[in-house]
Parts: sequence; structure tokens; C-alpha cells
Amino acid sequence: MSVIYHILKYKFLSFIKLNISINASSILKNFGSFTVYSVFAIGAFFFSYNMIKYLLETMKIGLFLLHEFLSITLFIFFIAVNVGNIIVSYSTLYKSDEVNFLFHKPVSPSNIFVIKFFDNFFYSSSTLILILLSILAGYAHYLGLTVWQVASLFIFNFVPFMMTAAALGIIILLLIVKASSLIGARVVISILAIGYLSSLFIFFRVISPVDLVNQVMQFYPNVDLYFGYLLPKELKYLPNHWLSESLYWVARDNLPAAGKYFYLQILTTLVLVALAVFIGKIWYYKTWFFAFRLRSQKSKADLDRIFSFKDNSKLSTVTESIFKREFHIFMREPTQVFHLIILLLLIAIFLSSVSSLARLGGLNIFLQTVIYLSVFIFNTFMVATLSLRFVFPLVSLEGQSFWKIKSAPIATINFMLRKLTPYAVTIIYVSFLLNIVVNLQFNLHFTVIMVFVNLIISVSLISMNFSVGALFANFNEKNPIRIASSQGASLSFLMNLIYMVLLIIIMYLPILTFFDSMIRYGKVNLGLIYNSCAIIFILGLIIFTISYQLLKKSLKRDF
Amino acid sequence: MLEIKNLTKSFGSFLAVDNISLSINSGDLYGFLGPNGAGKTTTIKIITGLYSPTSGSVEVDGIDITKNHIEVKKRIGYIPDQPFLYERLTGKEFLYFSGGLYKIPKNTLKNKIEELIDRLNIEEWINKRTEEYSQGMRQRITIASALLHEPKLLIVDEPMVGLDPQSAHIIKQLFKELTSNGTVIFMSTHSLNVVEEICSKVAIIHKGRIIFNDNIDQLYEIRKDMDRNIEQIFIQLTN
Repeated sequence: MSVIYHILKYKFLSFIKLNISINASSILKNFGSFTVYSVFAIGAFFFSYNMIKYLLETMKIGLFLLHEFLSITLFIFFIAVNVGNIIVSYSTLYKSDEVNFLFHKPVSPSNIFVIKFFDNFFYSSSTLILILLSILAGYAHYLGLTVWQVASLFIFNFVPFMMTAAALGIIILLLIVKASSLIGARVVISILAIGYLSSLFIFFRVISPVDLVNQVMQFYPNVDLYFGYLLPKELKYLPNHWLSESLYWVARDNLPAAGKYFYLQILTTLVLVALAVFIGKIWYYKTWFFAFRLRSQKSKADLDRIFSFKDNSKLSTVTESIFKREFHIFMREPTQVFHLIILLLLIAIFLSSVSSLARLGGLNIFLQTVIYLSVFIFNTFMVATLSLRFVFPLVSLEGQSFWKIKSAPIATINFMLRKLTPYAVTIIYVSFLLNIVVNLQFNLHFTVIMVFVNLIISVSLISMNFSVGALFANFNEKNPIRIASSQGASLSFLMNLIYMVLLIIIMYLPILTFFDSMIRYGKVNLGLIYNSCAIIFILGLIIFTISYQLLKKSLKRDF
Repeated sequence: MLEIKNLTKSFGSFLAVDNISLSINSGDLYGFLGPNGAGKTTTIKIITGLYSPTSGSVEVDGIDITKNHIEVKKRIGYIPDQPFLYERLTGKEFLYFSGGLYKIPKNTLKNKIEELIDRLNIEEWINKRTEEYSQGMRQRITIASALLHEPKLLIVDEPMVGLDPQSAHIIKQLFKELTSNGTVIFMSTHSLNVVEEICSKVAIIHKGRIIFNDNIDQLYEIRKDMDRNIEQIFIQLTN
């Protein structure tokens, strides 16, 4: 225990020293992160407050259905925290320099495991905790909960809920590495991906939200009553259900009914954390050796033969070298591949559901405009997320090997732009697909314009994230996830958010006019959309020019 | 071949390189000596384009690096003191990547890589990922990557770090062979034995200034006059 305390003390000291240095870059980064977090927190509060108000006062769905919707959201949240922890834990438990350092000191592997487990949880969940707290505050403010009720809900219910997801994540990770040593990593990861997809599919099949809404609405206006008997039994074993139930009973001021869910939540967390520590104690050291062997195995995979350096190519030698290097480095980094697969799955799920969503407003012009703009901004948000996650770290990921590029006869800016190309093309293609699916339902001409608008938006977001990533490049950090969640990344994300707000302002009136003319008169009025398209183009040009100059300047710095 | 004129580099108020001038001709193997923090690596990083000079100029083959760094870099091969490689690539893939940056045609590159693998004796582990390599293995891959395009000027920062005696011997022989074929080698090192063994000229830098710059024979003369070995002379000069 004293070893754990000793290590944690120095980790804390190094964190403080790293983050409290007074220079222009550090102040800018700290200010940026603070602003992003504040904007997020305030936004989450108002979003939560107004959403609940809308659902209860306008839609009149009642407290029971509200909490069942929350239960569904919490299930997705649970999966996100769980998967996030698997990805981050793999990097920190098996690949970090810190672990390598501690392993050749007289520190027991189980102590290292415990330290990294909590380190991961607080590192990868701190932002989520902040947002959850803001959402809970909005919820509590609307329903008039006391500070004590909110505090106990948060400490004894939300935090254990997240801790359960994280502990389960780390158990799964240990199982993955252990099973990989027996049947191979690719098989295990494929089984895992199928498992997660199946669990999502089964969950929505079992809960069937539409049936539940129809059944509850038969009792209208008494929809605040408890209809737990309508829920499938399987659901009652899930932590998201316990959390939504305790929220429901606290909202109805029935603390004894909420109490049992508090106990269940805490008990499950304790059991899973204990189980994670126990399995970690037995397997961590052994799996660490296996993970090391796995990484250093001579490449025999088919992927290594695809796009091989030895093969001739029609590309120029420089471009060929850069593309091949980027492809192999990306495909051999499990965190990059795993994260990409998860994001692509999310996009696929979104694509399959967006077609019915985009016309949900029916003949209500304002509702249709709001829904369309929500889908539009979600697409933009997806592009921003992809570029922040995959484009922002690109310069930093050159790492200490950047000497090879800086001393080679190629302008660094040209190298970087070529390196960016495959990422940019992929992101633009995803944006294109999303836009085609959403807009083709309305009008072909409208679709062409919106695809063009989204192309400009994608290029703007990609160039913004790329240049800010170059400005705050950290060549010592090898973990792309940590780079994409650094303070510099927060600042970049703030810029993305500001840009998205500007887009909404520019697009609101033209989209409203478009739906007004289409729904009311059956005609297509694209006049204002052309104007906003021109504004977005000029704005994009400005962003691109500034980003390019910033990139050029950043890359000229001494290495 | 390499002409350094009044070169200065400062980092804020710290003057790392203070108005140095050097001229190196074809076939020279130039030893660049100095204690830790004297300005050796900074000078090398300016020559290779990793740092920009505060003032002064560096010309390679008559081309100023600040005016046309691409042309200069085509003529230079660089071996850094810390041989950082792409950990996810194998040694061979790293060599293919490096050759591609110098626009070497694929067939020429294949032959050159095979030749260097043989010359540097790295066949055994060339297809393993570099994350497995020891310091010496990394160093040899870095040396191979610097020689792929047959540079006229080879800039070497601490070449013997981490090398076993056998590898060090191979490298020394290789450097001698290169200089006899007209390649210029500018080599920073702490190893006075290496300087004595293979260098034709020596410059000593101390606190950013050149305090000695002459033929190795001149250093031997001083040694004879002062009745001291080279290590003692070096310590006296830099104290």
C-alpha cells in the first residue's frame, strides 16, 4: 500500500508541475480547456433541463417513460465507457513507458495494475463525469431535487455505475489478451466485436421502445405511475436499469424504493472491482509478457503483404513511401484500428437510422427545420470528432523519428499534406455518405448544394484540427488517444464548436425557408441556401488560409 | 564541400553556437570534439536542417541551406545521436521508406538495401520490427538509411554509442572506405580513440566557440611538445 501511495504522490506532483507552468502556450491551452469544459458543462445543463421540460410538458410522456428513455441512453453510455476503458487500458497497461519503468523496479505487478486501473478510470472518465454532473444538475433543477439527493445520486449511483463499466472493461481486456495467447488476437477481437454488436441488437429487441410507449400511453393521463411490470425481466439485471429506477424513485420522493438500487449498484461495483484486481493479480504479469511478444512478433499477417514496400507503384516514390508507411503504422497500432472500427460502427448505426429521422418533422415547418438542422449538425459533429481523433494527432505522432523527415530532401509541409491525404479523403467520404443519405430524401438539387456545403465544412474542420495539432505538437507522446484528449485538443475542439454554432446561425433561415416553401407550396426555394453557401465558402476559405499559414509556421520550428 | 561561416545559434538568452566558421573539403574525415553542452549537436542540427541558424550561413557544395534546403539535403546523409526509428516498421521497411524520400528508383533501391544489409551485417534481424532492436541494431539501421542515396557529405553525431567492438570496427572501416572514395564525413564524437584512429582533421568546440581547428597531425605535434596524451590535451583545452 505504501508503494502505491508513493507512486501516486509522484504522479500527482509531476501532473501539477506539467500543468502549472507559466508561459504563453500553457496559459492559452489552460484557458482553452477551461472554456471548453465550461461551455460543455453549461450546454449540458441547459440541454438536459430543456429536454426534460419538452418531454414532460410538451410531449407529456410522463415520469416512467422519461426514465426508461434515460435507461436506454445510460445503456449506450455504459457501453461507451466500457469500450473506452478497454482501448485506453490496453495502451496504459501494456504499452506505456511508465509501466516499463515500474516493471524493472521492485514494485509488484498487482500494485502497478491497481495504480494504472484507477489512473485510467479517472483519466478517461474525468470529462464524462463533468458532463454527467451537468446533465444531472439540469435534471435535478427541473424536478426540484435537493442538493443532498443530487450528491447521493451522483456519488453512490453514477460514479459506481461508471466504475462498473470500467472494471468490466479491464476484465474483458485481460480476457482478450489471455485468450489471444491461446487462439490468436484477430479471432478474439472479431468475437468481441460480434459480441458487442449482438448485445446492442438484443438490448433493443428486448426493450422494444415503441411497444413500451404504446402500452404506457394507454393509461394517459396517469403516465407518471410506475409501470415496471411492463418491462422485460432480463432488463432488471442491468446497471443502467438500476440507475434509472433509482432516479425515478428519487424524483417521486420515494427514497426507500430507490435504496435497493443504490445497494445493488454499489455492491456490483465492489464485486467487479475486486474481481478485476483479483484477475489482474493472477494474469496481468503473464499477459504483459504475452502482449510484448505479440507486438514484437515478426509480421506474417496478410495486411503486411498488402501495400508492401517492395511492390512497385504508379505513385511518385515519395508519395508511395509516405502512404505505405502511414498505412502500416496505422494498421499495426491496435488502439487506432479498434477505435476506427467503433467509430465506423457508430456511423453505420447512424446511417441506418437517419433515413427515417430526417423527415420526422412531417408538415410542421419549425419542427422539420429543427430536426434537419440537428441531423446536419450531428454530421458536422461526426466530422469534427473524426478529425479531432485521427487528424489532430498526426503531427505529434511523427514522434522522435521526425528527424528522418526533417533531414530528408522534402519540404516538411509537403510531407505533412501527403500524410494527411488518406485521412482527409476518408473523413470527406464519410461526410459525403452521411449527406447523401440525409439529403436525397428531399430534392436532388438541394442534395448537390448540401454535399458541396459539407465538403467545405469537412475541409475547414480537417484543416483546423490539423493545424492546431501542429501548433501544439508533442513529439514525446506516443498514444494517439492521449494526444487527442490533450489541452491543445480541447482548444481545437472549442474552435470546432464555435464554427458549428456559426454554421447553425448561417443555415437556420435558409433551411426554414426551404421547408416552408416545400411544405406549404410544394416548391423548392433555394435562393437563400445559395447565399449561405457563399458565406460558408468564404468562411471556409478564411479558415483554410489561416490554418495553412499556422501549419507552415508550426512546421518551421526547430526539432 | 561544407562551408560554415560565422554561424550563430541562440535559444532565448542562451548562446549555443557562437560565431563559428569551418571549411571542410572533399575526402576529409572531420572529427568534431567538445564536452557535453559545447554546441556539437546544435551545429549538426543546423547543418542537417533540423534547426534554423540565428545568423551566419551553412553551404554544402556551394548551396546555402537556408536558401535551398532541399538541394542541400539531397547531398547529405545524417546519422543522429539518438537513432529513433518507426517502431511499427521493420528495419527493411524503414530503409524502403527512407529511400523513397530520396526518390531512389525501386530497383536501384532494392539492390542498394541488399548491399548495405550485407555490408553492415544486419541480415538476421532486418525483417523484425524496430521496437525489438537494441541500441546498436538501431544505430546500424540508421547508418544504412543515411547511405542509401550515396551522399557526398555524411553528418554523424556520436556514431559509436551503443555499438559492440565488432560493429564499431565495421563502422570505422566503412567510414575510411567512404572517405577514400571522396565522401566527406563530419563526425561529432566523445571518443578520442576514434578521432585518433580515423580522422584526418579535428575541430574542438567549447561553450559554442571553436577553440581548435587543424589537421590531426597538428594535434600529434602538440602532444609531442607537451608530452601529454590527447585526452589530457582535450581536458586542458576545455577546462
